[in-house]
Amino acid sequence: MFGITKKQEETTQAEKPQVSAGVTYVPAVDITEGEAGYTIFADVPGANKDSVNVTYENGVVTIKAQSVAAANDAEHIRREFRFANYERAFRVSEDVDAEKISAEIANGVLQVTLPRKASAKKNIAVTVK
Amino acid sequence: MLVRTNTLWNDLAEAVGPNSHILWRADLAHPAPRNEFDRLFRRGLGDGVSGHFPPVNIAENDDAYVIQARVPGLAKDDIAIELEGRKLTISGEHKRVEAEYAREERATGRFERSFTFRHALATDKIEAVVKDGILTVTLPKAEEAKPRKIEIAAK
Repeated sequence: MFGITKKQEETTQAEKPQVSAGVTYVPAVDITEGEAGYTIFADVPGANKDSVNVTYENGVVTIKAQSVAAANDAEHIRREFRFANYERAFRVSEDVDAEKISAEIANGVLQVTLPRKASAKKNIAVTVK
Repeated sequence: MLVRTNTLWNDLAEAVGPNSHILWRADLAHPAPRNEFDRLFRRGLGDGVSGHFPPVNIAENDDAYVIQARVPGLAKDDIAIELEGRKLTISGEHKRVEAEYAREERATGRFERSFTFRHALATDKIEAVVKDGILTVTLPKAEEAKPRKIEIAAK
């Protein structure tokens, strides 16, 4: 798990050397929704904990990641994908508790957990008589 | 199914105001935002076996071939690699987690893909590593298949 920087100006990850020159992809995502909140799963193969950056500002969560896989200088006989940068932003629902947003990465999938505010979780039981 | 997932997301967006939607960054020149066609293509044909997944890069030098495959979300135990002569087969399954999806774009289902190489391979020296969603298979060429310099005998 790693922290969420509040403001993008504070971000230092963006100044990292560009390991994968130029290309930026919009990563494919799944977003699941449950009583506890929302979870974003983003495919960012080649990125790791140190090359990924999640920020929250003004109700928008931004995911940025860079592939840091070793460059292969041998001659390619087939090339179907590129080691790229990834970037995508989501406006989050108002019932999300911004203070508790967290993120983790495993096997090239970035998972961002957006818990609902405690008050938004309450179920109001209505008894029908 | 597509309609269902979109509807859920729209419900979520509606609930939080008019500006609530997925923000496509205008400054992201490429690729174009994924559309349903792209999505279907990526997902292969239903639960069947897709011949296009995973995407790979293959490099070759005098000594070896190196295949790199893009397999986000898969760990070592999710992937099977088989070699039959010069034919390498990568297979596995992206399991779909049962949940309520507001958006579902990532590939799921079984996949299998084969590659046949031009040179004989040193079958006992093949190595495969999966790290950060990238599978790397190194296939050294068999000694007899490597290019060899022929010395010209001086008389």
